[in-house]
Amino acid sequence: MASQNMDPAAASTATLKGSETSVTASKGSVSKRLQQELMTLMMSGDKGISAFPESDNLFKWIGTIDGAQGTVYEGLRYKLSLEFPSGYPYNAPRVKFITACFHPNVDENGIICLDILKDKWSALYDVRSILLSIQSLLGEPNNDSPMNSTAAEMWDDQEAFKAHLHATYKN
Amino acid sequence: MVLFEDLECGVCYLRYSRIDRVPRMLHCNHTFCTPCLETMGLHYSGLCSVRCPLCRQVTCVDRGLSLQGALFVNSQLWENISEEQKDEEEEKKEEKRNEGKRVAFQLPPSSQAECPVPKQNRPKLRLPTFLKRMSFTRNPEERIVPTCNVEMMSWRRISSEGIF
Repeated sequence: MASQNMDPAAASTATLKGSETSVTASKGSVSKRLQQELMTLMMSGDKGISAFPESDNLFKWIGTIDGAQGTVYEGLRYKLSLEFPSGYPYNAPRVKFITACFHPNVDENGIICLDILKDKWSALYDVRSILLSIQSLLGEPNNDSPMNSTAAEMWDDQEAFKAHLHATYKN
Repeated sequence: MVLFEDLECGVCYLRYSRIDRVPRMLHCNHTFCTPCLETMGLHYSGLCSVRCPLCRQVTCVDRGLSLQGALFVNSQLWENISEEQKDEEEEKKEEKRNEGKRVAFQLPPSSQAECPVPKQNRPKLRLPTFLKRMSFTRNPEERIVPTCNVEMMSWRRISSEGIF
């Protein structure tokens, strides 16, 4: 049943794992899963996260994340874009910040360094778990491999970090 | 993390079936449908390995064996599938409905076929005028008998013009 179909995401995965990846998901099944995820997301009462397809394209969503309470990001809202490849959910979607985010693991272009969006991706993850993971990442960065060295160095001084964060925040 | 009904594959959100989406267990005893396992399988030098989406344990299948031949079917789910066969029939009906929608999409070509109709209307518009002239010519013939020959000639001319 499986057929060999190489796409950019699969190619990168193959490069990482040194092997081939077969992707046989049809767009029909991807659409069904995305529609079901949308229903689940709208019916669940998750606070601080939301997402909806952009215009008429079910494969490109706009998500929002509110900074969690008790973190320097509390009270701030961030907008993200999620692009789903044809191999979703077997391949991770491409997620990036639209709102500029001053964070050790987010670069100036909004690219997020998060393992579950790369090699640690699991086909069981969905939009909800992705947004919750990013929300959690905001308050608990990984300073060992920063994409924004300034933010990583400033992280220990939470007061200074918060001041700089609010000074540079633009919605 | 992700809670899903036992009768649905957690990856594709589709119900298990006894034909296509057979519930098979990886070596970690986690169950997914066969198409998803096939898609997640990595083939390298004859070996096939699948990393469990739930616990990340890797299940390896020896050479010469396919996933379907190597992995056990989840018997509990298999026994519960019989009740879901009706759902499969419903899905097939939905597919037929989709085919019906495809037929609906073919209407635009039929609307294009309707374009020639206006063209046909044009020649029809000319015929009534010609017929009116014909009837108009006949009436004077009946009234003026002495000049019958002259009327006949004029009638012939009109008809010849109409033919051209």
